[in-house]
Amino acid sequence: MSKSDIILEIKNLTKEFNVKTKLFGYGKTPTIKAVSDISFFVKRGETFGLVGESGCGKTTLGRCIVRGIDATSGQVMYYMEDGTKIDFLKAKEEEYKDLRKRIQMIFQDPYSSLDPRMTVYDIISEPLKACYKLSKPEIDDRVKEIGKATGLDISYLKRYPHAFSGGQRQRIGIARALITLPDIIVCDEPVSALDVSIQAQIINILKDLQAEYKMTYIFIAHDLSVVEYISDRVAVMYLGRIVELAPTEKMYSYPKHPYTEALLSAVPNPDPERKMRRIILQGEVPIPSNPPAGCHFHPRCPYRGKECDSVIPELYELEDGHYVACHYANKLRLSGIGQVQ
Amino acid sequence: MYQGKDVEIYAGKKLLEGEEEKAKELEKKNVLGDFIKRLFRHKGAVIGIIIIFLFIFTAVFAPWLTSYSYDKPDISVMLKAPCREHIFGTDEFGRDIFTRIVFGARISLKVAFISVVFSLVIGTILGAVAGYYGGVVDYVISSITDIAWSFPTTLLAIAFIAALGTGLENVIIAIVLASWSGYCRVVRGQFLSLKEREFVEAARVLGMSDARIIFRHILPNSVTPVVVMATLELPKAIVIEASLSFLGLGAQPPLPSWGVILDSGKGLLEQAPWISLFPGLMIMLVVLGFNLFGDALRDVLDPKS
Repeated sequence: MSKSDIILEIKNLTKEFNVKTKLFGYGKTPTIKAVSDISFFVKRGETFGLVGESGCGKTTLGRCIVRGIDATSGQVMYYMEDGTKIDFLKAKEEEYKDLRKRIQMIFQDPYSSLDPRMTVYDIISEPLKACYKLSKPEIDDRVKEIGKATGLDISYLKRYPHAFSGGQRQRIGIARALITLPDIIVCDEPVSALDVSIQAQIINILKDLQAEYKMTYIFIAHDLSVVEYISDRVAVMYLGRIVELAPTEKMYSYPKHPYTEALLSAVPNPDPERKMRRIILQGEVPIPSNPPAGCHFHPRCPYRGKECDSVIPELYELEDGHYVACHYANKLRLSGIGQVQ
Repeated sequence: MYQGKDVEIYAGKKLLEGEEEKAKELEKKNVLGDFIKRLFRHKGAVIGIIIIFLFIFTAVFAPWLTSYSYDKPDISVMLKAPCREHIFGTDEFGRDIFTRIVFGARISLKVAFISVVFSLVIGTILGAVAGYYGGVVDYVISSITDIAWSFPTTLLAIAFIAALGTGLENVIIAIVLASWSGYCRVVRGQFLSLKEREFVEAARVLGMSDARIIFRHILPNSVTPVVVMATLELPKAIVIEASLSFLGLGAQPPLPSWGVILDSGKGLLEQAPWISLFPGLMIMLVVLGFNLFGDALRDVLDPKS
């Protein structure tokens, strides 16, 4: 893999939240590490899936990448076409404005992410007005082009969001993100608020648009089948850390981390003939403000060994492109869902 | 046969499209039309609107509604009880009470509207800044607001008048200084809740400036409670102005403020009760009108209704 393939590199990204519990702010306030020391890169034109259960920090990570919230520390390196790189989190005024157009976001809830007091036309065209200086007819053309591409009925653009269904609203959200013609779109669970038949439509639209506009997606989801369908590579998060990162097929067929195996075994299987061993994890997800020592997963891990409760495993490259954070990754033989029995 | 069927289906489709056009038209009118329809279905709102309209009409067309002068004494008709020529009677200088009340409506409404507009603007700006930026700014503004809020409005207004001196301009300033804190608190609360909403975060992520987010996204969404509050603050301002004038701190005689007329009649309650009775009734009526309208607005604009 050459360096020029990379479009975005996240280095040691950490986000801590302060929890105010003490009266008048005296005493040490506990912090929650929602995202702790995460590093990975995203290749140009790929779809990078990010999965994990609720509260594992995947949405926080996404919001840090687009600067929706400020990260505590770390870098988000954006690689320009000419090879220069800019840290988006520390970008100055001019660079920031330029990068803002290139990195956009699609939000989870199409009901709360659209301003109820603005017409759909205004919602879609707003990023254009904020980022570019365009004349009215130019804006008009662009809105119509993107509206058509996302499958919206152009004649309804003067209406307000409440007149649209969930699927249509999410198309509006997609159109809004697409209007500045970005290189990267962070999709924060774009289909989890929609019902299943609409999910398929939206995912197919996302795929078509990616091919048409040559975009890179960071696709956050908790639905493993959706991620498998759309992603080229997948990262699995647990308690603010990436525990495994691999190309999609490898991850689903040959998982290397016990947590990934447990997640995959929970995916519903439509084939009644196939018998699968369902791994039911013991206990609950630990409280993020007080994570267990050593490997965060060890209290629930069926394969834990003696160093698991003291040494934090680092994410390392086990095979080509297959990263895993587990002390026993090369010794365990775990089962995925792609395997034939 | 096939062709016939096709045509039928086609016709059906056409019909559907036509229906959709109609639905679209309806949709356009709906937002404002629905609001007005619901407002006029509300009894309180209708009564309130009629009263408010009557008073505004009176204030605007005051000189055409009466043939008397509000400040020229006429000794020949001193202290006349209500009769055909003077329907509300006359005062101790022979001035027509009806004329004075008609011109008094101008003063009352002018003071009320100007003071509400100014306190609304000041309160909204401060509340928006405090709610949006938070932190130290919020702490400072909220503290000042809470101090201002903790005094009874009328008492605070009297204190300001004592410092500023009497006169209508000072009455307006005093009412503004005494009542901006209410708007500030409401707007701050709105901003605190709205800035956490996803569409505001979306605007930030999509590269909007703070000013754009405040004015295009948050303010339009927080306008409803502010409008309701302003409507309910109007009668309060009218009452404060009347009270201050009654105490001799507001409009000075011979200016015909309702409070001044009330005051001028208080020594003659036994001989000429109509001098105080009619301005008192007018104050009650206009306050009732605005309160009815404000309550109705709150009911109608409530999304849960």
